[in-house]
Amino acid sequence: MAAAAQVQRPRFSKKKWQSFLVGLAFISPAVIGFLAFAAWPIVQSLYYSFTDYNVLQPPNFIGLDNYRDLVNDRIYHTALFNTFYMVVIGLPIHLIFDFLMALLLATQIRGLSLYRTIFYLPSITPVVAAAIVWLWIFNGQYGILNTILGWFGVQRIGWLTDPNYTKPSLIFMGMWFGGNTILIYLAGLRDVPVSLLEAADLDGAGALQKTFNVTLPMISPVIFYTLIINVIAYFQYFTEAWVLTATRDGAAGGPLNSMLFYAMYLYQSAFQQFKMGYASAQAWVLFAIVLVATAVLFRSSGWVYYRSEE
Amino acid sequence: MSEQIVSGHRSLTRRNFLQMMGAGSAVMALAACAAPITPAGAPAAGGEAAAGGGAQTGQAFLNYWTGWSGFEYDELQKMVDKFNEANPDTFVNMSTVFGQYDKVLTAIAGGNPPDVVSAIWLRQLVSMAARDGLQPLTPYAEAAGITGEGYFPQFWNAWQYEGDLWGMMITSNSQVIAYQPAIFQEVGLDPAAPPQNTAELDAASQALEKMDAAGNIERVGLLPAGLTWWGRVFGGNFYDETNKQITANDPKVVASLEWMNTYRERLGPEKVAAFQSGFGDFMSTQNSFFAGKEAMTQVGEWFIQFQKQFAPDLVMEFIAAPAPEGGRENCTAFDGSVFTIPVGVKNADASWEFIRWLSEDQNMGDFCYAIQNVPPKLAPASEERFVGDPRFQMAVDLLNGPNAFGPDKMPVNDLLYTRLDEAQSAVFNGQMSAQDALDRVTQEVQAELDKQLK
Repeated sequence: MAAAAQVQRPRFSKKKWQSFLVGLAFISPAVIGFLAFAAWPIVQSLYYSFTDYNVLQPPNFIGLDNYRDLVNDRIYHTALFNTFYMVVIGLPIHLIFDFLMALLLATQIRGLSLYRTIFYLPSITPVVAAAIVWLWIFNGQYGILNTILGWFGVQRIGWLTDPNYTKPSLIFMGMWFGGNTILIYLAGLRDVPVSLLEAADLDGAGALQKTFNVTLPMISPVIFYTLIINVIAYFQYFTEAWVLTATRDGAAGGPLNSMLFYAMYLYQSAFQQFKMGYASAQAWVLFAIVLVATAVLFRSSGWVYYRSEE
Repeated sequence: MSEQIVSGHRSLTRRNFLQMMGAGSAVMALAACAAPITPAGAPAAGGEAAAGGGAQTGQAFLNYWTGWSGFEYDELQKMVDKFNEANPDTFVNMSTVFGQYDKVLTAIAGGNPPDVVSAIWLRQLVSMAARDGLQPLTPYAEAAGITGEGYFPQFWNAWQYEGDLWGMMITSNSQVIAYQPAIFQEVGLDPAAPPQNTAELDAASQALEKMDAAGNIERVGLLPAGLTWWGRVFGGNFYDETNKQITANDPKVVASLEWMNTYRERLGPEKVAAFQSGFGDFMSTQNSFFAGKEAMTQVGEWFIQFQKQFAPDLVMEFIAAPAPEGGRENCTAFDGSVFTIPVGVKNADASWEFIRWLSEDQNMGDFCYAIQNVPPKLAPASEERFVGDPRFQMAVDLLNGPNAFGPDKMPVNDLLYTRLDEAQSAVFNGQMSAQDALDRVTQEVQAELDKQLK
């Protein structure tokens, strides 16, 4: 450090240079970690995606073959469909549900903090543990869900065994994990200026009108933020489905692969079928999909209202 | 130079800074120690070796990864302890990777493999060997005078690929059907005359089924599943080794899948699925067979130990899979955990010594007896402690018979088995016909095989 400090650049005073180095030293664990464990593997995976690479033997360059194989891979298409299903159907349901919950929790009622705690609690439960509990809730024979529905004369439903019900079951389960988003919405709701709501009151606006014309526009940046974050997260949907469907042999995906998601198939390709090159190609396609989806969302974000723009 | 190097809310002295850096690197160093994929102490951890006996330097430290868990793991640990005691020059540290066999590949690829690994299924042996993941054991076996003599020939043969020996098993399993004579009696079947062919099996299964008032299944006779076994029982084959052709759509394999599906069609696929989802943990007293939900179940001779452990009062008998006309009588399919030495291990001699020791008649026999598996060698398998039980005798006879089948020797078994499972599930769910499903398996696996063999 001392030697480096003596190399003085004209525009960089000794003191500045020193504090730069110190700063660098402080962030070095993060920078080194990022370069070694993120940046380099990312670059490598791009190369591997053009190779036939089984991890044990040296990669063998095959050009675009992996990408071509993706076009014809039936299982890959299933995984892609399932993932889009979660993003296009599951995510909006979750966000709307979370928003409604936040609206309810923003009202002034007795025991509010208790309710807030209850709704947030699932978010601090480890996903794996919670999914195991849901495994039993959804159980076709002994599950509490079927038991309760049975009181109303509903026939037993194979929540996780009937391919028609598996993804709706996952979406249903996902509502339970909404605590974080609810919390973000709650914070957003606190920021809605009371003056605007009072003005709307004076103008004779009802609760619905206030929600749609005041509250929603005012927290639209928050909604946009959760949308972007969750679109990215839902494209990487993995843990819940893996825990619910993994078998002793390491297979996963549920009946007829109805719960096989993109990240799961990627993992299987890489670590169970020895096809690291193929898995890398999948990863890059997923990256492209997420990039496009995010770009489209930003392009179409005209509905988002930023107060600071006034 | 100023002592205060960072301005902000609070100034930080250089001493503080250095202290923090020191503490930070200490934490990182500790994290680095805990991070490696090796489940337990690494070879460098000489202290652990010391715990096992002689602390002298030069003691070989072997990391051994096993797939056994539960009481089977405990029994194996006893063998490892015995080995460590008998071989002061070597210390074997065993860890289980039960349910995480993927780790083996990552560890080998990462250049930090376990010294001995048995968390490899026989069906994966060829794919690991063909991809340069394993060391051939041929030179070691030759030097030790192990030539396959004394082994069941089909096992010894199953471990060979392209002229080399790639691994050895110390346990093996056959597949049988267990049944409960008490339930047979309850429904008026003669427990002394269990089904001899598939027609009789169908009739017995129906007689043993029990539904509740709402039509939900309470007990089944047998729910046949598993193409790799039933396909063989029906006389089919999955691979033509001479022509390197996948034959999963062999008419006899198709027939076996159609037959299995008749059970689902009769009982209702949704009801079967709901019924099966209510099965308790397999390795527990809640096991569906012990709990009386299945009057017959597909298991192996190892189930004798499970029964002793979890349902000691239950009476259980075995039969071989009843075959249809034109099928294979006394047919069994075997797989098993293979002891191998990955490439890149530091002391392969010591690794081999551990495998060789476990393969000695006495040691192999003791471990197999403790977990009620069939020793893959004829001498220990014929000991009275094993074949004194007629059920065990049946398992040994099946494995020693002409219709004992191991996994096919080709590098895409994992894919074949996954696709066969999918095909089975698609047919059971009424999505596809058995013919279409198996045609698709054949075509897709063949394409992958061609790629591998290129």
